[in-house]
Amino acid sequence: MAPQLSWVNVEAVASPPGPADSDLPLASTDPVLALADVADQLQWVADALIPAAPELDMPSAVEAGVIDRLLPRALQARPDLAGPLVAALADLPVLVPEDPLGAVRALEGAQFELVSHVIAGAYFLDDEINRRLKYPGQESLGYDPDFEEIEEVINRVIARGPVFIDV
Amino acid sequence: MNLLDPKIDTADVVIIGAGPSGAVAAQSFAEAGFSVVCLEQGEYPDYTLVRSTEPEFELTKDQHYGWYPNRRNAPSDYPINDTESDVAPLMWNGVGGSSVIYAAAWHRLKPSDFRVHTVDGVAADWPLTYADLEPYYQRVEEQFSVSGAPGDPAYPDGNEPPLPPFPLGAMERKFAAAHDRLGWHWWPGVNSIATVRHGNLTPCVRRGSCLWGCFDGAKASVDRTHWPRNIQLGVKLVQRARVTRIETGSDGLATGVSYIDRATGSERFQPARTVIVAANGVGTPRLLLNSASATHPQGLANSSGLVGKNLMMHPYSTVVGLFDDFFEGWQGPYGQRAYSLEFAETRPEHDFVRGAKWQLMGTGGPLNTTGSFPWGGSGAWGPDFHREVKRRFGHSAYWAIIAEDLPSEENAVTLDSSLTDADGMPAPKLNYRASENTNRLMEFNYTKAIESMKEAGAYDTIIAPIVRETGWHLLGTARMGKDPASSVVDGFGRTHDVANLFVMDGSVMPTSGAVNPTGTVAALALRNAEHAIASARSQRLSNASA
Ligand SMILES: Cc1cc2nc3c(=O)[nH]c(=O)nc-3n(C[C@H](O)[C@H](O)[C@H](O)COP(=O)(O)OP(=O)(O)OC[C@H]3O[C@@H](n4cnc5c(N)ncnc54)[C@H](O)[C@@H]3O)c2cc1C
Ligand code: SF4
Repeated sequence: MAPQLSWVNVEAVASPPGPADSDLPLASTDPVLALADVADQLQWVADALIPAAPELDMPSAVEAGVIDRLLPRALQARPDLAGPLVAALADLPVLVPEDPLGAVRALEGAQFELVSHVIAGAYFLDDEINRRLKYPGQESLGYDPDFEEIEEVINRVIARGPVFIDV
Repeated sequence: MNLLDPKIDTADVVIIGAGPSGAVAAQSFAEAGFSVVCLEQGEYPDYTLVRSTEPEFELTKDQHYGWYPNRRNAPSDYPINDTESDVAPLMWNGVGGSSVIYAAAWHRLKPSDFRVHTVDGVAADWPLTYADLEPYYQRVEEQFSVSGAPGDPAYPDGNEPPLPPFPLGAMERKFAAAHDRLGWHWWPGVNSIATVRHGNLTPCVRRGSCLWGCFDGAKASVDRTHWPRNIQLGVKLVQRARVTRIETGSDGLATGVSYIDRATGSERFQPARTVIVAANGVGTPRLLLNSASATHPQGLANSSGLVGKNLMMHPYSTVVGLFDDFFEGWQGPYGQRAYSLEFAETRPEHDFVRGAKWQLMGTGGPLNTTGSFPWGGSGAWGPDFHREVKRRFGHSAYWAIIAEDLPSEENAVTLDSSLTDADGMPAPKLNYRASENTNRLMEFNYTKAIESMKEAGAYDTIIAPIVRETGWHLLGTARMGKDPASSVVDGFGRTHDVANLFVMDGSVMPTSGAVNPTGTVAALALRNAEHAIASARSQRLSNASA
């Protein structure tokens, strides 16, 4: 079943604010193409980039919920990337190719960077994935320096003498 | 264009650019009672766009606060033709300038950096010494809430950051011990980040978004440290004002500046008795060159032909170490956790002159393990994805190697013949190539940085040779000197050609040193502004400015 992603309408969200006459191809050239239209590509591309690794206890992108849960959240955070993502996926075959990773890698350099960045960005939004990697997020930490330790460490460097040319 | 709108007062001083150099200069002039107008092409940063408390942080961090203006493409940015440059220029255009996104690694230059010609027989000496700048370093370190440990032996006595240092983490301890064994210099990070409440800044909570805007208000960007006070002092800060030309009168002196009000698209003129350019090493030569007229067809203040020449950008490489240990390498300061100046001076046994600074950093969160920075190439995908993420995430640290690049007239900012910004002002074009000296210097430092990594316990290392999008330091393009034939400004930032026109940003640096430049840029701006104030009585003014 095609995932429910059609809320991402390229025409509505792809163009970041900028000069109206900008000729940069930021959006898909097809104004009605939406993420739902490339749902088949998304399914195989996501797992080609991030397959499961049971030996490391890590799920694949699809198993982690990239398609139905995490990618919509990622694109809500980065609506400017939706259009270029759709455009890049539309360049790929609908049916799973023989060498899926090779097919994604064959995308033009910037397109590959974008597709892989967005899929991985969505994957790492998942709490459970981050827990398994021991990533608590960007934490707020208190200020508790051990001044004695710092002094000991720098005194050893100072004892080695000056390291500049005095002119 | 209405050049003489009676409703617009002639300012004592007009400053172009509201970054660190413009902010420091504005404060000095305003404190001394001068009327100051600052024209800034961008706006105040919107820190609510920084999502450092949310899981979305890594995915969103470079959307609004990306470093590369050609990609960010914000309305305040101007395009830069860098196709002929090894290094892409980075900056943030708005109130605060690039201090909004700088890493806040804070340094002074060393005494020899002011004497490169005397010491090494290459490049140029500065018309001032370390001792001349030392008192101004001290004062701007207070203004920028600099924190760190006192007594670094890489500097003469008296280098004492006013705020206490960050705590040492597991990563810093590893390298401290390694450099003890190697007998090499190492020092805990000195940063313009408040570790304790100071001025307008709150204590750093170490969320690590320093390079993408500090939501928490601890990093010394001048929109926070300087502009609130500047405005209290009566400085008029005009946002969305893109200065297109510095105008001159028949006597050759500056009369004020023409600018586009980006909000309305209308062209305006701000008359002024003194004009100060603080638009950085790319924006400043661009403006001076675009101010050409029949009397100075090569650009303003350019009788030497050196405006735009000698661009220095500190070529930058990384050496990453992979460890069994787990470091919290995503936390701030991000930043420098520590640095080494062991190889920053010329040594007789080397096949190159000058040196490099090494800056120790963590490698960020999980998403950062898949990008190209600091790894020098995209991460692994497909069957190797998880193995590589686990190998890198939390298990890595890197030495950023910042090379002193020597000035060369071939490395230059010129005006592009066809590319313009949204307001029709010609865009700058960069020609920049890393020199043979830089390449040798880098090769040597890779070898030594690998040695450091191995000694600290790394089981593997990755080198990213000169990384393209690292032109964060833009220097040298309106160099200072005593001789008008070989320099653009004198030792106090005054242009040799136009007595009431000053340059007060990093463009004036004749050589680059190997360290992050904002401490020096700010100290120079303070010294130059105070000298201009002291000599204001003898300042020649244009007959055209009232
Ligand atoms: C990503 C990044 C990281 C960095 N990290 C460090 C670091 O860790 N340590 C360090 O010391 N330095 C660092 N730097 C460099 C540091 O930010 C600069 O040295 C510093 O900002 C220079 O100050 P400035 O005021 O001279 O120029 P800028 O900060 O560039 O400010 C110039 C201002 O002028 C404005 N302007 C330009 N042209 C015009 C015009 N025609 N009309 C109107 N306004 C104009 C611009 O919009 C801008 O706001 C970093 C820079 C970047 C980009
Ligand atoms: S680590 Fe400190 S300075 Fe950096 S963004 Fe966080 S609070 Fe600001």
